[in-house]
Amino acid sequence: MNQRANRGMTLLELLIGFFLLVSASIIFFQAMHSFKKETTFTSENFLAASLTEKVLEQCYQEADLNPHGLQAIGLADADGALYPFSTFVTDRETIFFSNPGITDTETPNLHKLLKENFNLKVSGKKTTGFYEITAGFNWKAASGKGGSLTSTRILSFTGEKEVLTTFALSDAEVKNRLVKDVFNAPGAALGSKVSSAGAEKLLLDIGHIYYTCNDWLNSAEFKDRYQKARSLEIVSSPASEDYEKCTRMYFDLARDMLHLMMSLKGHAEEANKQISFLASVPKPEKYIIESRIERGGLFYRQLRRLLFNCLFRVAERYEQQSKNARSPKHQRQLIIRLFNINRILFANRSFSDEVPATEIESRYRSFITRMQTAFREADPSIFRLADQEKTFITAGNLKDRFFMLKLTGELFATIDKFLTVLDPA
Amino acid sequence: MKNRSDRISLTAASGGFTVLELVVVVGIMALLAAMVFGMFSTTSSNQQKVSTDLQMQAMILNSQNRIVRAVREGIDFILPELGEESAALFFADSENNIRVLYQQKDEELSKRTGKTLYKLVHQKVETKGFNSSSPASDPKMSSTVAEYVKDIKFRVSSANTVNVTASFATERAEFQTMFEIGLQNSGVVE
Repeated sequence: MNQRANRGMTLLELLIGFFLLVSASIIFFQAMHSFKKETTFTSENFLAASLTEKVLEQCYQEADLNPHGLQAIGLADADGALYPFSTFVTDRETIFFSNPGITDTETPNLHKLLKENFNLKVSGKKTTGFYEITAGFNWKAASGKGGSLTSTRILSFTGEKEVLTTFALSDAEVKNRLVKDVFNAPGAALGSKVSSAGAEKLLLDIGHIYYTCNDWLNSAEFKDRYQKARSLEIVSSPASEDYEKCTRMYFDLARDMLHLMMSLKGHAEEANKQISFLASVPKPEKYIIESRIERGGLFYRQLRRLLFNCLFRVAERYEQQSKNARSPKHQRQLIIRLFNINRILFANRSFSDEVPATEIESRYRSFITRMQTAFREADPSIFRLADQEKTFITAGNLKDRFFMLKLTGELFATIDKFLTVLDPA
Repeated sequence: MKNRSDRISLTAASGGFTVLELVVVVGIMALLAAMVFGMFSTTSSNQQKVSTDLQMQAMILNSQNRIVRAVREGIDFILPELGEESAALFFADSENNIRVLYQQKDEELSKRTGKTLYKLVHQKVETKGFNSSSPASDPKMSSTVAEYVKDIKFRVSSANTVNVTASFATERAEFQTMFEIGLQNSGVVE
C-alpha cells in the first residue's frame, strides 16, 4: 500500500492533467481574444457615432441656410423625397467628408480603418415641415458586422405660412366710412343704400382697399418711419450701428407694407370678380365709387412701389454690410437675407415700376455668381445654395420652389388686375 | 549479487519506462508547455492591449465631449478664417469673451512615451476685466480639455461649424477621430 501511495502519477494522468490545463488555457485565450475584438468594435462604434453626428450636423447646417438644402447636398430629389444614399467616405467620395477629406496623407489611421469598409447610409422621409432622417455606418468588424444608426428630425419648411397684419380695418369701420363718405349718410346701414347683398359686398371690398391704403400712406407713423430711414442714409459706414439701424427700418417698413398688402389681396380678388354689381349702385354715388376704385388701385400700386423701393435699399445695404460683417456667422445671416430679398425682387421684376426688369435680373445673376466665387472653397454650403438657385432660374421653376415668390407674384398680379377693373380691355 | 537481483526485480515489478517512452512523454509535455506558455504570453499581451485600448477610448470620449462642450459655448469663430485650418481655435462666447483652444507640449508625457504629445488647453480671456496695460493670462481661466494629443486640427467648415480632426497616442496605440461641432444658436431669426 505504502509503495502504491508513493508511486506518484502515471504518465496517462500527467498527460490528462496537461490536456485539461491546455484546454482551459485555450478557452481563456479565446475569451480574451473575443474581448479584444469587442474592445476594437467599441472603438469603431465610437468612431462611427462621431462621424454620423458630423453628417447630421452638416445636414442641419445645410437646411438652416436653405429650405431646399437636402436637395442641394444631393440627398433629396426635386420633390423633397430622399434618395437611397450609400457611399464609402474616404478619398472625398462624398461631400460629407470632402472638406477636409479622409485621405492616406492627411489622416492615415482613419483612412486605413475606414477605406472600403465603413459604408455611410442615409435614409428617411419628408413630412410636413421637416425630414425624418436616419444616418449611420455599416462596417465589417473583427467581431462580425458593425452597425451604428442615429435618427433625427431636420427642419425644412417650404410650405405656406399665415400672413398676419395689425393694419387691417374692420368691416364695421369700413361700412361706417362708406355711408358717410360716399352716401353722405353718417350712421346709416350700408345695406339700405344699395339694392343687393352683392353690391354691398363689392363696396365693402373696395372700401377696404381705398381706406386702408389711404390711411397708411397718409399716416404720421408711416411718414415718420420713412423719413427717419431716409435721414439715416447719410451714414455711409456699413459697419456702423446707424447703418444697420437704417437697414432695419427699411426692412421693417417693407415687411409691414407687404403684410398690409396681403391683407387686402382677398378684397381685391373679390372686387375683380364682383365688379358687375357696380352697375346696380345708384348715381351719383356710382361715380364716387368708381373714383374710389381708381384711387384705391393707385394707392395700392403706390404701396407696391414703396415696397420695391424699400427692398432695393435693403438688398443694397445688406450687401455692403455683408462685406463688412463683424463675423462669419453675421455674414452668413446677411447672405441668407440677401438671397431671400433678391429672390423676391428677381421673381417679381416684371412688377417693378422704377428699376427695369433687365437690371434686376442682371443684378441677381451677378450676385449669385459672386457668391459662387467667394464661397466655393470657404463655405461650400453657400456655394451649393447659389448653384442651386442658378439651376432653378435656368429651369424656370424658381417661383414653384419658394412659397414667398408664389405669394408675392399672385399679390402683385392681383393689384395690376384691380387697377384695370373698371376697364378690363 | 543479491542487491543486483533485487534491483532488477524491483524495476520489473514497477513497470519502469523505457528511454524512448520518457523521451516521448517529455517531448509531449515540452510541446504542451510551450503552447501553454505561448498562449499565456499572447493573452497577457492582449490583456495589456485591451486595457490600453479601453483606457484610450474612455480618454478620447471624455476629451471629445469636453472639446464639444467648450466650442458649443461659442457664438462666433474668430480664427481660423472661414474654410481655413489651424492647430488652434479662437472663438467668442455670448459674453464677448475670447476663448482659445490650443496645443501645449506635454514634456513629461512626451518623455515617458517617447512621442511628441500635447495637451489641448482651453483658455478664456474675459473681455470686461481685461487689463490691456498689463496683459497676462489668468491661470484660473485655463483648463486642460484633452491629453495624449498627437495632433489636432480645426477647420472652420461653415460660419456655424468647425470640423475637428484629432490624433491621440499612448505608448502602445494611436487613434484618429473626426467630428463636427456647431456653435450655439445666438437666436437671430427673421
